[in-house]
Amino acid sequence: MKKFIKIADAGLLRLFFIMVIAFAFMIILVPNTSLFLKWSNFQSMMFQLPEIGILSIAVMFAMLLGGIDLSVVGIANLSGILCSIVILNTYNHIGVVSILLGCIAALAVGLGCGFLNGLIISRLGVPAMLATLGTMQMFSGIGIAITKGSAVIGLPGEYGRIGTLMILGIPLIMWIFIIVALITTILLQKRRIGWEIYLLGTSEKSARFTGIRRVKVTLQTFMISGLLSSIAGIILTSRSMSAKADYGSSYILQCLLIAILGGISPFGGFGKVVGVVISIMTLQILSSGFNMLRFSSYQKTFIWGLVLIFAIIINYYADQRKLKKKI
Amino acid sequence: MKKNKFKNEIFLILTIIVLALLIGIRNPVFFTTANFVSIIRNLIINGIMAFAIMLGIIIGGIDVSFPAIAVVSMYITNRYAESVNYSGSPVWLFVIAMSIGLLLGMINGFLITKFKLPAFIVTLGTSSIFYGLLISTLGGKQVNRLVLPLETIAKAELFRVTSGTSTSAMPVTVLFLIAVMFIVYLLLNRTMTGRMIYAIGGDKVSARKAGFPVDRITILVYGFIGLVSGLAGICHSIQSRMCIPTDLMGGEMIIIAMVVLGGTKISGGKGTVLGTFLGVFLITMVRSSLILVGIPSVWQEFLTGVIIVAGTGISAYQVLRDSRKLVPVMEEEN
Repeated sequence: MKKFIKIADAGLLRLFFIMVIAFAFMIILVPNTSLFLKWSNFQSMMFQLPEIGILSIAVMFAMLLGGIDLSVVGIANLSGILCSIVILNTYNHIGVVSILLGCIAALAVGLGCGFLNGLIISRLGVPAMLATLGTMQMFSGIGIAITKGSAVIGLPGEYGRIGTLMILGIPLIMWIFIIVALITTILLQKRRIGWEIYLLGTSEKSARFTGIRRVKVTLQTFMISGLLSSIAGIILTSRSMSAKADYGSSYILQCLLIAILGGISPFGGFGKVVGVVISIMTLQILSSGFNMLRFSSYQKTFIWGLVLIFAIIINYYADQRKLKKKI
Repeated sequence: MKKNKFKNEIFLILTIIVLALLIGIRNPVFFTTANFVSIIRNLIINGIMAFAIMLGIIIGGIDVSFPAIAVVSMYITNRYAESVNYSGSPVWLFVIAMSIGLLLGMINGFLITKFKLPAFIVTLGTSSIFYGLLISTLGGKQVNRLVLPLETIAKAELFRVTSGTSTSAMPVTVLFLIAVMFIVYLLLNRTMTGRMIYAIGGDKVSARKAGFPVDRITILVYGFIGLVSGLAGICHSIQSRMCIPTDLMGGEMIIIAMVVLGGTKISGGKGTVLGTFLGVFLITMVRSSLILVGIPSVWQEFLTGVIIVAGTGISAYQVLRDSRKLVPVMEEEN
């Protein structure tokens, strides 16, 4: 057990180093260093980070079970759309309360979508990647059908406050992200469900012999993932003040990249929320640095790909060394 | 065991017939030859890629970089042809496109075998590398006019059918679809390499222990996927008569879904050419018939999702049910 902790910590330490290097790299590279180190730059990072951060944690949950969830962005958009529609239809009658109602609707949609994912995966035995590929199309398809493919606009200004409000100098959405990270950490490290997820992800067979109910745990995992996606959906809509079925279509690649970089094993059973958080911060630092260097989105896409491949290769060599040490 | 061999194919054919009847009753235009030709025309590019991707899935890896490879090959070839005002034989343009594809595919294969990682993750990375590099170096300008040799192929048609008010022409590119289908069929069923691909996908460790050159075959498969994607890319530019670098991108998931719907096992080891063709046909048929039935096209995405979930769900459930029937001792073996 002690050895296990050591190894996990070595991975986290490595991640932390990568983040520091990325930070140093950007300080050197960005021509106007004071601009990069300004508090306002960090604040804008904190505005950009939460939605993709929460989505990455959602992706992480599916990955811990050894599957890939492709539907998170679809769920986020669908809950954003329904949230907006509820608000638009009730705002004239009940005012600000409608925002609360909209958010509840969004979370309910997230839970429902996650439940459907879990049901298809556990009851029908469809591999997670395939099931969520289908539901991704279904969720964004419903979104397209409801909105006729255009954006839902005209949301009340109060709703936009979710995305702009600052508490103690830190954006509200960043607080939401911190709370989400804390709660998921507790769930995974201190609660029964966490153990069950890790065990089921490591070995389905041993999990069965331990008496873990596969169907129940899978359902719970995907419902958590769906709920988190809908929180990201609320943030996404409030930041852009509109909802559309195809927002953030490039997010899925970035989420997977963040999870892998964060040390989540694509084979399941390994990885921690802390790793994901560090990895998001690293990517956010790189991303805003590249923005200041005026990189195009395609250049960024190229770099994300390189980072992903490098992360994989580094992990591979680290694992090799670990194996050699054991022998 | 023998009895179940074509179970999935028969199920697919029945589904296609039932859906076709339903669509046809709503709108008789569906049963015209012109409509059939237009469905075939719509499935050519996806079909070409689907057969290659099937090989990847059979060997146990999901390649998502093939649209990027297709676009890179298509775009570089067309930009090159445009810049030198190419007027030689079109064969060389195909060779260029397919070589680029082969090279990129082998890079995938190398990374996958060398670092023993899921193909899905690796190709997700290389896909952004290939595409990001292409657009950031060459820019995203579209090529509006193909060079003459390609334009000639684009104008040529095998035959043209007229039913009522609508006419449909069968493009020459369909020959490439047939060729790829035939080659993949021969490769899988008539060569040792094909049997090894099934064996590796079924159980990699055993295949390695049996002395199969697992890495070499894997690189070969990903190289082949790249090569065929290059072909699909140039065929796409021929069929659309222009070359837009944002085309094809994002189509990877639906093509993978077509292959899996065709009975190819997502974890590897199983899959047939006929099944894949039926999967491609089914989804293309439904997607292109929505307007005929009067369903607004905004529902297209949703219905595709439903078909994927239903199709994969039914076959997965059968597997699950069958495995429950086995005695517990057997269960431990897998």
